[in-house]
Amino acid sequence: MPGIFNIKAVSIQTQTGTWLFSGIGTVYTLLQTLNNTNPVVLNKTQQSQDIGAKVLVALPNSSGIYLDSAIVPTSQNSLPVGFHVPFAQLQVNSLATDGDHSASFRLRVGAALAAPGALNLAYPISSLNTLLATTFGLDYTGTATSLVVLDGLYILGTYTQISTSWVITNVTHPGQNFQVGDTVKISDPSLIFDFSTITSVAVGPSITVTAPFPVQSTTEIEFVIPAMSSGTYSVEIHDNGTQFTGWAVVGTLTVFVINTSGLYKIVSGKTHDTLYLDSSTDNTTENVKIPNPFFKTGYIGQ
Amino acid sequence: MPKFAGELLHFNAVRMRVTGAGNLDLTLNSLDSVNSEALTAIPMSATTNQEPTVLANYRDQCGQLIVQTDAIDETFSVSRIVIFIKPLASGYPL
Repeated sequence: MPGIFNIKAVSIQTQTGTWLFSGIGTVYTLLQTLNNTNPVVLNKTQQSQDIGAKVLVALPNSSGIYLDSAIVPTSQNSLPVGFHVPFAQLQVNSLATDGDHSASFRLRVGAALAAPGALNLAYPISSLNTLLATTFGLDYTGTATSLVVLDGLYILGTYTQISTSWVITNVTHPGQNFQVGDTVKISDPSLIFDFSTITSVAVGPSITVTAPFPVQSTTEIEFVIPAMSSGTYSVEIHDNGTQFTGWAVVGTLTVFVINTSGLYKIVSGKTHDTLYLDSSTDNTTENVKIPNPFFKTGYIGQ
Repeated sequence: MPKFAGELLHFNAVRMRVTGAGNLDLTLNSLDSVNSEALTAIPMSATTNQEPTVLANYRDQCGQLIVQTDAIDETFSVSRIVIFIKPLASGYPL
């Protein structure tokens, strides 16, 4: 479901350190005011000398993105699955100059500068991480009597959600159960998803397989199941691409131990089963419960 | 044990002599597992001087008691089971 988002500054500073702003006090207060999109008056409290040329620099708040009209930000890890940003721009709601009319503004994104007085500047989006790491701000030139009123300074963009269905297949043993060492393929039959920018695949809470992968293209990705215990695990893909940035659960993977002998040794007094994870390479074992031992009485009333 | 002939029975309690470790899960179950009732689990210890009575409220023409554990290293040893039953009705009408 498409929507809009905005990103606010987490810190702000000038090239020459902290400024004092008329009627505002400290830069910290200025940050709050910018976040609340209230008008900000920029001039110099000590009006005996010129302000000169200054650069006001802010870093986007990477810890939270405001989706649609939400009051509380959403953390990057909690964004909707398939969160995709096709467009974003730095913008202010309004600018006005007063005083000796010599003050001027230019919005800045990284090294890119907008035209003097322009109210917006397109934000380069190579990935959401880049979006959240690129500084923004404004170049400001004024004299001792310059006065500039700024209403809001934030990143505004649109987002969509990529939705598709993924398929997990066993390449090493087609149609069979997954084992440690098997190659697993994740694909999207609908060809909506671009796998070329996948950076890692998480199998369960503690196993992560990172790039480079044996096979990685726009239509599929393959990875090898690392040494792990048997069990059923959730599989997540993590991406840092232009199409999709974030993570998504693509399905589950049930991993079985390999080289099991099939022998069951009865040991008196033993209260659990012992699995040998790979009898050919090591003696790593895992104790598991005996699958729900039970007995039933006969039917009473028959 | 009395012989029942299709009466509708009320299973109202189960009393057991059991030792072990963990919790013992009890279930009353009908033919083909159509009806069932999970009873309160019995916490077990290696030794005990008690035979706890677990209340039930299960009605059917017949029923069986299923005893099991479901966690690692749980054990049980049952040496006595008493199931309290009372006929409620003569049978199910067609």
